[in-house]
Amino acid sequence: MTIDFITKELLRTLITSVSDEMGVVLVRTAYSANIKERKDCSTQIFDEEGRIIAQGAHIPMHLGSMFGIVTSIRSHIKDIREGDVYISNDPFGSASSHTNDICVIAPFFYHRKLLGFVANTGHHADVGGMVPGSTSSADSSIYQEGLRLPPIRIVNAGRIDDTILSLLQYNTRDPQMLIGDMKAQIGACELGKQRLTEIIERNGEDVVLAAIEATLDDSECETRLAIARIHDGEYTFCDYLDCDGIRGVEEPLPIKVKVTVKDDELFFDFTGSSPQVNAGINLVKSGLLSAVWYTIKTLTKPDIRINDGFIRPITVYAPEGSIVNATLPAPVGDRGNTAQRVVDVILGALYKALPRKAAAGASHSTMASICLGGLNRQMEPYIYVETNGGGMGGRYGKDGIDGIQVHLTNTSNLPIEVLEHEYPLRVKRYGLRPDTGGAGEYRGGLGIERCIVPLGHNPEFALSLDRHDYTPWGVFGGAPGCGMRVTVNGEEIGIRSLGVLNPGDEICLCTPGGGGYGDPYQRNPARVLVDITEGKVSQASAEHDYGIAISDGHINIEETKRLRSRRGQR
Amino acid sequence: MSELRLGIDIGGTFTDIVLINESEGTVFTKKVLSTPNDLSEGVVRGIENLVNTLPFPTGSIDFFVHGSTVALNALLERKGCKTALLTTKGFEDVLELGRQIRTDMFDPFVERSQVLVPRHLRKGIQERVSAYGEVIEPLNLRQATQTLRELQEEGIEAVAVCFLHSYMMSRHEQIIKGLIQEHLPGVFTAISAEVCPEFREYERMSTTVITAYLGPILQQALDHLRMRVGKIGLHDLKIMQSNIGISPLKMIEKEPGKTLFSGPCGGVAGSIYFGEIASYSNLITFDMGGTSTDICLINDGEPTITTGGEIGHLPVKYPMVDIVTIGAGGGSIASVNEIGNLDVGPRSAGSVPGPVCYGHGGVEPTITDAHLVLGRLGRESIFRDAGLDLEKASRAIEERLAAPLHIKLEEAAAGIIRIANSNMERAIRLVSIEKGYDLRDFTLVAFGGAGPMHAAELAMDLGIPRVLIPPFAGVYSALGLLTVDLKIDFTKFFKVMIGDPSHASFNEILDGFADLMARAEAWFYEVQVPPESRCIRRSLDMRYRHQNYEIIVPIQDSDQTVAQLVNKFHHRHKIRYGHAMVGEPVEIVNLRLEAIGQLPRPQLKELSVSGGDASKAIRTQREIWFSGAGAFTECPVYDWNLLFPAAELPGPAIIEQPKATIVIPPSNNAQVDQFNNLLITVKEQ
Repeated sequence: MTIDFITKELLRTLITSVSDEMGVVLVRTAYSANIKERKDCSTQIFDEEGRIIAQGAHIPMHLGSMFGIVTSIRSHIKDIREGDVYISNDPFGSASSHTNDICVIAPFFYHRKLLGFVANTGHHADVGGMVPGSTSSADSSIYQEGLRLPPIRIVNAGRIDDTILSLLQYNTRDPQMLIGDMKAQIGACELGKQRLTEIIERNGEDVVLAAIEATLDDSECETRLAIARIHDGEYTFCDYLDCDGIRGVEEPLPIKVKVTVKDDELFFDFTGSSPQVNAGINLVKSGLLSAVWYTIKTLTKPDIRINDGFIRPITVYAPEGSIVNATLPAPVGDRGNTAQRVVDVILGALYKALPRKAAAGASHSTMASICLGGLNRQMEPYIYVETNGGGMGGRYGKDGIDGIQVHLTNTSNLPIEVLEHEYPLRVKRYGLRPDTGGAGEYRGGLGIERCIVPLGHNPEFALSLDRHDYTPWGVFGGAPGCGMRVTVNGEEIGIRSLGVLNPGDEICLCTPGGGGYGDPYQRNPARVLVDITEGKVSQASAEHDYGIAISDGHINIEETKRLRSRRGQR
Repeated sequence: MSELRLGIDIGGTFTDIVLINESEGTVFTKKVLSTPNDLSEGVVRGIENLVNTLPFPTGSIDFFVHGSTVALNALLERKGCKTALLTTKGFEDVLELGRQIRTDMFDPFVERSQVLVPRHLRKGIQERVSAYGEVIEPLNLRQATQTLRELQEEGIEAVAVCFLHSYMMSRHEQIIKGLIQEHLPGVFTAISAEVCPEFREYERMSTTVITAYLGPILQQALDHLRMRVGKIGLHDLKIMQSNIGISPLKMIEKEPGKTLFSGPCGGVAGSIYFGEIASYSNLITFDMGGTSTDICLINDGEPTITTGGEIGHLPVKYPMVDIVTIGAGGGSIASVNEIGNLDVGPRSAGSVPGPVCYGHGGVEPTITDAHLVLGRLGRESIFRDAGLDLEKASRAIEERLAAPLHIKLEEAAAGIIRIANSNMERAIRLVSIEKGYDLRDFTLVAFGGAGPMHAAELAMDLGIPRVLIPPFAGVYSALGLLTVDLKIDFTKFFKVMIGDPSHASFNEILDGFADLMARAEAWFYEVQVPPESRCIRRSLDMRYRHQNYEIIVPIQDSDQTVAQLVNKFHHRHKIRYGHAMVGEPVEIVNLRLEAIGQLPRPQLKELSVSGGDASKAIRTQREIWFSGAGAFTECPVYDWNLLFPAAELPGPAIIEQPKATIVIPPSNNAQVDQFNNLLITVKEQ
């Protein structure tokens, strides 16, 4: 059946709107801060074969995280019935990229015929496991990361299965949150089914299905056009995670990619990346896809919708058992730093092919997460977990943003006043780290310093950080950003340490700056002066890194000429 | 009671004026061009133009409200004054870091919204207060004084002060305020404990900085206006605030942030007023103009108020009407994209060059051009000569859209409107779902230049059962200014657990309001609200313990126990979020108090009813294209001014107003009420 393009356009808007509406209702009705405030969730609509029809990802980390879930459901559940809802969080079963993300998926029937699935995923605060919060780089296998659920039926033809609910309740440190969020997820699926039914009733099944096909084809076409604009060629890049940090592997772990651009298709080959490690920093394939898809989206058309059409021209290969395509029983809970780095590595490969788009120096690209746990004043246990931003890489025509979340994550930080009310902790300092952005014609963004002191108790701490040794690199002559640094009372400690703090100890997390873009000596002196005035770049750095001499708050033109020409002779 | 009430909405392009003669219920209106260099000039000219035609002198006008975009524009265009920020040492970058999030997740060239105070003017002061209000580090006066001296040399015009936990313990901020007055006399000062005594430092700091940044600008603008209208005998000016209440000027000068949504609030207020007249209290306002569309949800006569508002990505904590703006309007451009699909927006032809049919040099077809091609918008109208260039509009749509898409001209034009509507539909749906409401319980109130052309079809798509088109289309917002009360909001951090005998009692909560009550009393006195018109509304920001967001729960006279408050909270939580956690510990975070000086609503003259046959108001017939029909249909074109109460208008039909056109699609019917509201009964789909 062919349909006119206006009908197609209207239905495309309507159907993508359904995935957005599911997201809104999920965020609205969820219990936990993870979903409600950090919006660590996403929604998808699949057809009956499992192709992605539409999705509303609130966090890019979820873009591919349910890819393949329908196949997995169909192989586990033989009798898919109207009114059913299934759950799964198995990273090795295409349900998630770590066990915290529980996927809730419901078959969608119209006139008794299975037409597709509506699904959503949300980050649950705790699904059991070795540590509170269920994820730690210290995990040595998936079996330490809490409940691992294969696809199971939680709602049976409209009736919620209480035995499954109690199984879940018994296996989390925070049953009320988990169950509350789970119900919100089920509610979002209900809304999705209801809206799809309305849309089909109004427009007719044939028309809607034809519109979906046409929409997917359009997305494919858009993506191919965008890829065709990238110069053909093979582009390789390699960057390193500092270490696995936990099991004593102190060697750097390579993440390597070869991107082949051929006409309107893209091939990603991660051969040469480190084998998977016995620490929770491995990435499963669906997590890798999230990172790849995110990067292509930002490089080609930031507003393009990711669906089955979008992914047709993209092939991703990663050796099984590698750190970017981990297999059972690899621990994967703390995969964030690895996923972030995949984005940088792709950007590193493509910046020469797309100098005005990919062209950023590397960003801080670590989750920069800190976790403190202990007993509060009322002797109740508390866990404080927070991820921190850092410097974004310098970009074509623009400096990198100072102190910001980059790439796959975009969660709000916790206000200090809330932190100090909720936890027996005090923030001593919180601000930008001057001189940490890589020098460049366009400077890398500055990292953040956040210093915390425990009050009257001895909390345990755990860190998940990176980019201490392998700092964010610059491009086209830009300098690298300053690396990650953690101190306790001024003494530097390992970036993936675990330990205990004494009352009054000051733990400072100093996140990396971004890499610079272009030759710093080409930087407009007026911009250097603004940076100096604002205290983001020191006078010493201005002279040394940018060849700008300042006297009495003004640019000393003669001296600057001398400094800048001197380098030319070097 | 005021006999003559004057409302003026000062917009970027037009200044709209409405004068109500209370004793007769009559309304006089005037629209003049705004004078961007000195807005008060247009105001004075407009008033004189209007009043010159009337039998009363300007001096006899005893009630004057205006809506202003001065503060909003200064903020959006970053034309505030040179501002410094004093904050707790070690936290100078909070203002810049915000919540560390980027405003677009996928755009690699995203920028952070420009920070209002550059880093070198954000100064750390040695002091520290704990989360429980204890002084951990005393305020270092010497260092503070030294800092102020440095600022003096910088030529600072305003200072914002925001210390950590000052909502618990404001003494340090108060002392600094004194120091500023001493060392930087004449410099505008805003301290966070006064501006916004609520926790969460970034939002409080942002609100305080905006206050300082705009303070001198608004003060100057208002002084000027006061002087100019004073010369023609008008005194005691009032201004619309973002909370849909008005305030005397002198009370608002210190708090410019409260006027940021002054402009769009007039339309929302007018909608509540006309909705009430027509007996509808669940409304969605749909104000579609040339470049953007404002949407606001009104539930049970109360607009949604948010305390988590943002303007240009900067948080503003004052209670304000929750208006959602969509970047689509009559000027939105339609184009064929690279894969051969029709896109409408987000680019806009704006007012310059504007739609093709305006003939001001626009070449890309817009929504307005599509309406013209389909006959919905007349080439000439009852109220204007043949000003619109149909040939040009047709050619643009034909060449740029219809030909490349291989479809008929009219199909392309109809496609533009349907696609535009689907984008609006999506936005309205998300607004209602996010708040947990069912659209079938609502009435769509359409105004603005383009709103009434889209409303009925949009309502059909949304399942909204009726559309209300209020009268006075051209000056609607100005009229809305005259329909609200005097109002001020007070708030106070008051964090207590409730619900358990060991927790705060009902009386303790009430006692917590004592100082807010005292401030309300002082305000009533100052703005001269007579005792019988005084109204106090108390409410609580409540949440489950460990939540990081609050729900506003009003305290009513019938509430006598903590249990009632807790139940009410559970109930509201369930409506807003779909569930309640009965049994979970509940806490109060803030106390809120609204002081209201009630003003009588304008009593418009009720028109007499005279039969249902509206055919006398038909001025002509026009060929109109409706999507469903796939062909032109001959439709009557009614003159709005000739309509009368009880008139029945079967669709399809067009009604022309001086500044807007109403489209009644086939199978929809419209009726006029005795106040000239037009109600369209929307056909169910």
